[in-house]
Amino acid sequence: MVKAGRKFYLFLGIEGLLVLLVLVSFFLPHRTYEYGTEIYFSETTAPSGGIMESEHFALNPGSYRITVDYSSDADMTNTCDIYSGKLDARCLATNGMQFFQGLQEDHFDMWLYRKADDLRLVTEYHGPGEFTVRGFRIVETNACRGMALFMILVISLLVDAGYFYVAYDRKKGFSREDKIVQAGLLITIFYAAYPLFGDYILSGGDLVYHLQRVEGIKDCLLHGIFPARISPEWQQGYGYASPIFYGETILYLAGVLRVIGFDVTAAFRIFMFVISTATVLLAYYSFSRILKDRYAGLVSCFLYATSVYRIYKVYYCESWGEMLGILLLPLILYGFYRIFAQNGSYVPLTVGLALLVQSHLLTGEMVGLFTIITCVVFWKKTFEISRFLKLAKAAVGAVLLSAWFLVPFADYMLTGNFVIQNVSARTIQYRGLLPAHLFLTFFRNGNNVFIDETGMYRTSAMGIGGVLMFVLFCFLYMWFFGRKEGLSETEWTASKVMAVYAVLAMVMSLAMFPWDRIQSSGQIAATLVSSIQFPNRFLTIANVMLCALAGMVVKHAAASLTKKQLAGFAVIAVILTAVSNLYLLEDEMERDDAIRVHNDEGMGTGYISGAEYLPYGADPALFMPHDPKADGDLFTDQYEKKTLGAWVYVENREQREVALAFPLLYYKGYQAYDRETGQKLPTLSDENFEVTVNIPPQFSGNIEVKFVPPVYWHAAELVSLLTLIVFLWSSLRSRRKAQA
Amino acid sequence: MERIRESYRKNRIQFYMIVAAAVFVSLPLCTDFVNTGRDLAASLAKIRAVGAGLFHVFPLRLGPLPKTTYGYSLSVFSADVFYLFPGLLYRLGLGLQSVYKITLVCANLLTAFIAYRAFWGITEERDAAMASTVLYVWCPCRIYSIYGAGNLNEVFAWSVLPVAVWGSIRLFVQKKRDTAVLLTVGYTLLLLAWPVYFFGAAGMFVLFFLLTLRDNLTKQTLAVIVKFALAFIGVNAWYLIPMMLRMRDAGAVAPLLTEHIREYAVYLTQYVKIFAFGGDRVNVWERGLTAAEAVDPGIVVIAAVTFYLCSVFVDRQREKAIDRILIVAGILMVLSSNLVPWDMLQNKNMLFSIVLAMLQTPAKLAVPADVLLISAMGLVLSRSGRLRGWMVCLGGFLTVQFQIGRLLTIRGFLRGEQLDELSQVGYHVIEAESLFWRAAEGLSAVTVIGFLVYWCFFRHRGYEYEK
Repeated sequence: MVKAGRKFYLFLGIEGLLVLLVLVSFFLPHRTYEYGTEIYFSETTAPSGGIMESEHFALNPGSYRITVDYSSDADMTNTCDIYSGKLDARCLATNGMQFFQGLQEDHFDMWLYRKADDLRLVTEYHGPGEFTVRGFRIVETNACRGMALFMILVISLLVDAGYFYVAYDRKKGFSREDKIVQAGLLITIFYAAYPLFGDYILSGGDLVYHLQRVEGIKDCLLHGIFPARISPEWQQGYGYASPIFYGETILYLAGVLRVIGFDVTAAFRIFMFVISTATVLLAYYSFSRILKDRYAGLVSCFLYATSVYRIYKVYYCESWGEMLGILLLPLILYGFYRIFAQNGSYVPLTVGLALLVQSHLLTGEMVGLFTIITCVVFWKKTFEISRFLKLAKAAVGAVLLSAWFLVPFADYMLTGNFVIQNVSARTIQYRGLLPAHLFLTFFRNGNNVFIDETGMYRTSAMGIGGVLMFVLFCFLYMWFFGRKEGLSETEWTASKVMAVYAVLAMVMSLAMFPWDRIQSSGQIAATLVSSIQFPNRFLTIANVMLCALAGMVVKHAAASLTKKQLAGFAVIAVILTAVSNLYLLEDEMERDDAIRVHNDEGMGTGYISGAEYLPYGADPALFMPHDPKADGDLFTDQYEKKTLGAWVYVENREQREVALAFPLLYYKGYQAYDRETGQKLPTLSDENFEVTVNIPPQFSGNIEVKFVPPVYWHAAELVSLLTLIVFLWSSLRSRRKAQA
Repeated sequence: MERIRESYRKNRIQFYMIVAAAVFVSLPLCTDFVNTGRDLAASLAKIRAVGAGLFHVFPLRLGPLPKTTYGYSLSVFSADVFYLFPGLLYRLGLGLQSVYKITLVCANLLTAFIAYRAFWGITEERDAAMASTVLYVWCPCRIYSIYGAGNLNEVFAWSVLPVAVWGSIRLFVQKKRDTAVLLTVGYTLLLLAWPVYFFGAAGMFVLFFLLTLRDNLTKQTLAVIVKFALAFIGVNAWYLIPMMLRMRDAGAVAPLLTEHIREYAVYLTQYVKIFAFGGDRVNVWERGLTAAEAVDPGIVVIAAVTFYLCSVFVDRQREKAIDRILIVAGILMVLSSNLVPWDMLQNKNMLFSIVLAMLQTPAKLAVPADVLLISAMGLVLSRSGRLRGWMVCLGGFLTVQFQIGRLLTIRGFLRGEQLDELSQVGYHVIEAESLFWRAAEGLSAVTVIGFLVYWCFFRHRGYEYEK
């Protein structure tokens, strides 16, 4: 153990003092500013639209919430934002907001990093109808303080860790190998996260969708809802059940960053950096343990972190699901290797599978397919009692750990009818790749994924890249000539399996693979195949296999080549990595647009990608905020929209049940009550799936609508929690035993 | 003559290599057009103006543009001495396109020779000096100045910058006290080529001084600095004094100030780019790194520096000289980046405004940082048993091929008459405005004569490096 010296306590004191200062600042009164500026537009006063500014106002640095009191005859056409003529763009972070017909008041957030005296609210009118801003109110928030606290804690942690690192190095000293690996990992982490060092987000296909998922987590956490089941503000406050269908476990990190106070772009960049770093570290951990060689593991890790497929999915598509799949696949590979090749612990596989299920079911589907193939091919090993038990433990453990996610998912899939259940007719073969894709070396940031229509013109970077193809050819050469110096029998067999799986996955990504025929063989096959959407997703399997194979090839090369040959091999590999992987990375940065989203209102809430998780038949274009709508003579008052619910006073003056529709998207779990008596009111969906409450005849009272998860969902959460506790306890115990 | 022949005999491989590097980087000139650049119009106009005023006024000075905005080439008072050569060619009757291209070829060759001498002085080893020179001539940031910006002032400044850097390193890192002349020559040439780079290099000089304060706070070093300062002011009085007189006028400084200066600072990641895509955006705030200008010294330089840092980390093999150069380079890199709140200096007072105006944009600090990084790479090469000059030249060749290919294939171009039309910018030659100007010119003349006399009768025997 390294003891802390005086310097360390000095650091600790300074850090503690800084934390205390920020904590005290949380209790300072929040400044509020009221502005009664009246801005009025109509089609008569501004027939072709117009812009008006409020009077100038001054603010100190900090974070603020601007609440605008308004009325608008149009949805999402009129906008407002805060501007300053003097400030550098970096110092005023906000994107303003859009106005809705059904609201009288709305707010947006702003981060101000310099004192400014020429701020003004600028409203843009684009019609139709009238638009009035009656005034606005600015209230200071704790966002900046939260950010400061977080940054101080992170920097303190780094300083303290650095102190102990240096102290340990001085006292005991890291070995040369340790240091080379550490330096290699630092360089890998840098290149893996290269595009994140700007102060913006690279635009990408699914970016807004995933940012909305994060906003959903933030909104739920801020309103005390955990775990998030429906993202409350999505679709103009109607809500969207993406969390039930699309696991968000790892995304909670980003959600927490938003809760702390970071703006969307900062939270995105920190989250992506953490995931990128975790990918590097997990890949290194897994590959080095598979290969039993730290340098070979480092090479595999670098190739994996900078692989064409990863760059394409992470920075071009912004496919967070696949990004998390890429994060976990090396661990899953190691998990299988550990059980099949080493008859070792089931823990890595359990953790990998559980997190994969909770992150990206499609990658899970592909892993499942290759697991079945492995179990069939190695049936003798599979059905050895000890191995079989470990595999079963891993599978059951993963299911139990994921029960909190799987039970609601299964509940909706079995009892509901959603768009995702009605896409089995969607074929995927025509979206497959051409063999040429697999042999491309110079990938560019193209946007064409529909190969059947436009061929390879401006094709997206769908391939494995020159260096991994080089690895495959090297191994095929080794296999053909029986060159296995440097590899044990187990490693040699594993290498062959990896090569075969990689080739198989690559073939499955091609348009020539008979996906349509498989799809037409039955309903289950149709659903599974259709859900894959793009056959190129199989490259994720090929990618991880080839990167692990690269380590094997490196081990062999190190054992069999002369120094000069090894240098030549390294030069070819480095050049291929540079022109294939790193070129694509820089081309992305060169050609992608820079996006800076600060407040969630700035990106709107309407984007739901393929609308897979909508109730089948719902029209999202009609989801606009409104007061409760009744189909009869119903008096409503004191309406208040809540998170995943609403409060309203109603008086039904009719002698029949009157349906009252709320601006909420109906999912199983919505319930309505009389707030005084607790009487449950019938809750169902109207023709466009708005939450609708049937108000009994002559009923009067305050009713509350809210989303209440079924009890068995909570039971599943409990099961997962207990499994996690048992899992951690048993892992710790076995570790202690092993150490003893 | 014998000395030159002997020197040629010892350096002939290096000579061929650096000439080849200069010729290769002139590849974009083997066309029948000139690539457009943000400052091309100003450069051509200056050639015309200098050509027109060549035998009428001495010393020749160009005044600011009548219509002033902000930014490049609109110098309040630029010396433009280096324009005498293209101006003369133009006066002799060559077309503007030919003059421009000949000037660039000559500048490339001049850069190569000056850089070789300077890097030889820094690394004290021929192979390392050659590799450094080749990578300097092929530096993506320099290539951007030539073919991306089309700014001849910058091109000339790139030619003489290594001398100023060599002088600074020689004084503060190598601790040699015979540096006053070298420093005076280097910084004078730089000032006369492009004041913006001069201010960057002056910043570098100050940083070196501060960093090595403990070692260099000696009578000898201070004497060198004082000698250098006096000689520098004396030689350049004809230019500096009128410029300072002009500086009193806020109206003259204001047009040079970039609005929202921080938006023109660079991202640190720009330094480690592998591929230079030929972009020319200087405001990286608007679209991030999309089509951003090249500011890096080249990935090979970065790789060599990373190799050194790794060897320090792993084997603790460090060298003080390299460390010091890298620290100053690192500070300059950070200062050139948008991490520094440059906006806090904007619109504050006259002094800050003058500093920012002289700097133009923080991105300009990348230039001395690049030269220092290349110098550090040269030192790493000279000290390392594993890295070889040809290795880095090969790597540099691949990256420069890519950049030149991109420049030639994605950028617009102009020919003959179009260039004439483009150069119709109203630069005008100005004459001495007051007695102060004449006195300053007299002071400079006396200093230069004194300098020449000293050079002829008491000159140093030269710096010999026989490694």
